[in-house]
Amino acid sequence: MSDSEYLTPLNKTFAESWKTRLTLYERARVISARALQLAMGAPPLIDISGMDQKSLTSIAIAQEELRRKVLPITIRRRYPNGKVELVSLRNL
Amino acid sequence: MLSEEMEKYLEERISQLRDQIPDTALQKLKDSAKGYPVELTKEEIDKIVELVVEDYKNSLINPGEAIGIVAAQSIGEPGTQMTLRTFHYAGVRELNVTLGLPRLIEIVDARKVPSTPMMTIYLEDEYKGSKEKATEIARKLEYTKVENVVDYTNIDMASMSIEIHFDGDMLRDKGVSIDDVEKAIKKLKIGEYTIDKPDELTLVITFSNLDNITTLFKARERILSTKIKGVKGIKRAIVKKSGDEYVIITDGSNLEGIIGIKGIDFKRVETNSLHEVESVLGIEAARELISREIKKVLDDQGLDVDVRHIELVSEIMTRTGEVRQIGRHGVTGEKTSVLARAAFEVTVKHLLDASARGDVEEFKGVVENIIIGQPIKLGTGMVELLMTPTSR
Repeated sequence: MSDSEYLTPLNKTFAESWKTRLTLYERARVISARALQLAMGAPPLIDISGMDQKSLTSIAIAQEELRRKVLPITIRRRYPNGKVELVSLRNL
Repeated sequence: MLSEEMEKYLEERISQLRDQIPDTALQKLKDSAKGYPVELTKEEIDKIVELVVEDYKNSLINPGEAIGIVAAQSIGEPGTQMTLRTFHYAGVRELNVTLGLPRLIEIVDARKVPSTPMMTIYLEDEYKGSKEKATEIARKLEYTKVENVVDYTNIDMASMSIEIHFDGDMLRDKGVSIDDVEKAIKKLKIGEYTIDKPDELTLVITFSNLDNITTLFKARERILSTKIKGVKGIKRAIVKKSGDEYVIITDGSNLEGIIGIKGIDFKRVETNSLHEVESVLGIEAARELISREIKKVLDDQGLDVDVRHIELVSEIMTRTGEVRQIGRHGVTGEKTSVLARAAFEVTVKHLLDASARGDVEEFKGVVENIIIGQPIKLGTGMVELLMTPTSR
């Protein structure tokens, strides 16, 4: 059965909308993974001299990197029906 | 309150949202905008619609959330409050209704017959206004056997006859006449006999060709258990006023037997027998009934549980097309993992059987992943990250 056969228009736009955004858990996972790299000494992908120096933590940098879409990370989503979808953080 | 122009504008805004927000939510928005005592301006409508959209999006659950656990906790915690307070509770007038935790367990276990089956029968327009007409239908429903209206019986072994004395009060209460009883008895095939009526409340049945006393006793049993009128399974029917109409509340439930009885509005008949609803009305009706019954139990106890938890339970129970129970092992037939089953009970037996069958462990669930020390596939644990470092 193809998607359009059992998806109502409402569910379809809902499913579509997730192609361009992250779930709460994906955000948390990406930020934490990147913050760990930074904490272990990886060079930031953004210029951090402009950021508030007092609250310059690895997590803050990771959040900013995610916001500016510079992270070379792709998320692989596995749906319960076996469908696999790739979401690149660069084109959110 | 809305001016005509504004109403058109709201309608237009709503139609833009059709594929984003469910119809029920949009309908509520429309109704409350119309019912609001102050006239709304265009800017205000824009702001309201914006807030509604935002609120709706905020209430959506993120994929990966452990909704089953949250539902279990949300129903389970109030459930502990419930235990101490009620077992059985005398409810609607003479009828006893199971409420509280026992009823909740009953629903979730998907028992074939509830411990106190009950129906609420609504009547058609021409009957619902009058108590007499409602009572008439109620009497027709009550399953009445001969023994229900009998005071006592005598067996005369000399003349091979059975003397049945009726209870006048019971006859009146059930709306049965001696003639009705006689008619019911005549339909039985219990040999040759003659019926006499020595007085108004007595029937004497004399058999002409019975040879021993045992058959005479058997004949008495058969006569006493003969149905005079009514629908099978309905022990009592009580007429009660509800709002501006009379409804019939029955002790005992038989949804199938009710179909086609004159005066009954079948579309509105309610029962608490899950199994009957499933077989007569189908799985969607059963799903709805599970939600409603759980909600009713919790509301009765003054416990406030979000409907979405309850709906999750009813949907899980019915999603395969038939009602499945949620017992000690979780939803029946749901747990496929060997390790998860082995972690619960009779470990060695499960492991032995699984290896004999050659089962495969897929590590999809929670328990099995914890056993082998892997992150579980929930929340952040289900996110798979791929790194493509060359792309910069």
